[in-house]
Amino acid sequence: MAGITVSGALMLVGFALYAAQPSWYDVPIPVANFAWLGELAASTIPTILLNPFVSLYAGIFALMLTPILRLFITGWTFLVERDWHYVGITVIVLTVIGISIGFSIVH
Amino acid sequence: MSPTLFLLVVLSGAVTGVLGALLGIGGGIFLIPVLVVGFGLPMHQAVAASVVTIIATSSATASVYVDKGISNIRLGMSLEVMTTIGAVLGGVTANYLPGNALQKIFAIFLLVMAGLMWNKTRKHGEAQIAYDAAARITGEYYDEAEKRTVRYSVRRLPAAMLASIVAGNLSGLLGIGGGLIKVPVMNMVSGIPMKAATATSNFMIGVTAVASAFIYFSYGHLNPLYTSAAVLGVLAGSQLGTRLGAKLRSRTITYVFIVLILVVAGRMMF
Repeated sequence: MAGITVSGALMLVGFALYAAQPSWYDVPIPVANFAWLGELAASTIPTILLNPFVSLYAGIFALMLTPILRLFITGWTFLVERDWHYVGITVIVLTVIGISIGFSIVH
Repeated sequence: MSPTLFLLVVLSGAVTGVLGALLGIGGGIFLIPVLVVGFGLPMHQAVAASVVTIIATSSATASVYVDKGISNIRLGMSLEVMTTIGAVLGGVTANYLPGNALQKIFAIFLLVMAGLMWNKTRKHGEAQIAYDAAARITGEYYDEAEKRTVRYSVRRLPAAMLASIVAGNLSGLLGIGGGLIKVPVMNMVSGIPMKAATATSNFMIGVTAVASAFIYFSYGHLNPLYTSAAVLGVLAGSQLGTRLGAKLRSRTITYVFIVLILVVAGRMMF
């Protein structure tokens, strides 16, 4: 539940920032790629914090990390129980998701 | 995005969340047509938004079912290997298909699902549940409604794994949870009680969705405004749906839902 609470809070902050700054309404929606992250890195901290898309993307990413965190906890439980068969299965699932993340970074 | 549009997308997400909680599905079969037909969002962006809302639905419900011991984690993880592979392949494939082709595939899928839901609701049957202590995967949970401990063993795991790769592929391709495929297969083929099958599916759909979510993100299909608004709606709707579930007749809801998806399928097809 912690993951969706953090995610929901970040999204609400993002929409509050968006509603409070009408100048963003006409700005094309940025794609959260390395180029955009590079632009953000070159900005000042207040600029980053006031950018609604930073909060919205952070909320989406927090949500996307929730099931991955759940998988790590599941894997840890199997490890404590010394259930090597299911430790292996968890590692395979995490590897497939890792490939998906790797693909998205390379792409 | 205007405040009115924001509220309408949140409302659509809330209806998705209510339906998801009531029917035990991810809700993509409602949300995607609404985003495409109602709001004119490109098909790929609607699918990406749906994939992320599935993670929200799964995260909101799975922790409750896992805590109560209803989700069968070992079964879920065994099936998840195939489902995630299917989801990644589906996600990649979807990005090479034109939007209108994806829309037509989705419409055909809706028609098939309407038929399956109609059939399932009319029969209202549940598989015979058996327990074999020597089986590779077994499970037990306390059923609060029946006030007894339910024990079961998993049969025909390879068949369930095959269905899981199909469900994962459709999840990645069309942005649906895949519960409409996995739950009946777990119940009817593998002999898992309906409650455990639904709870295990809820545990799985979030992991499956995350595998394809990164692919959609990498292709630039993730619209943060529509996705976040839909997620906020889903989070509120799933809470409401859980409470409504005890009071409403699920059969009536399902019939209304079937009519709705038939209309939407027709609209998406032509």
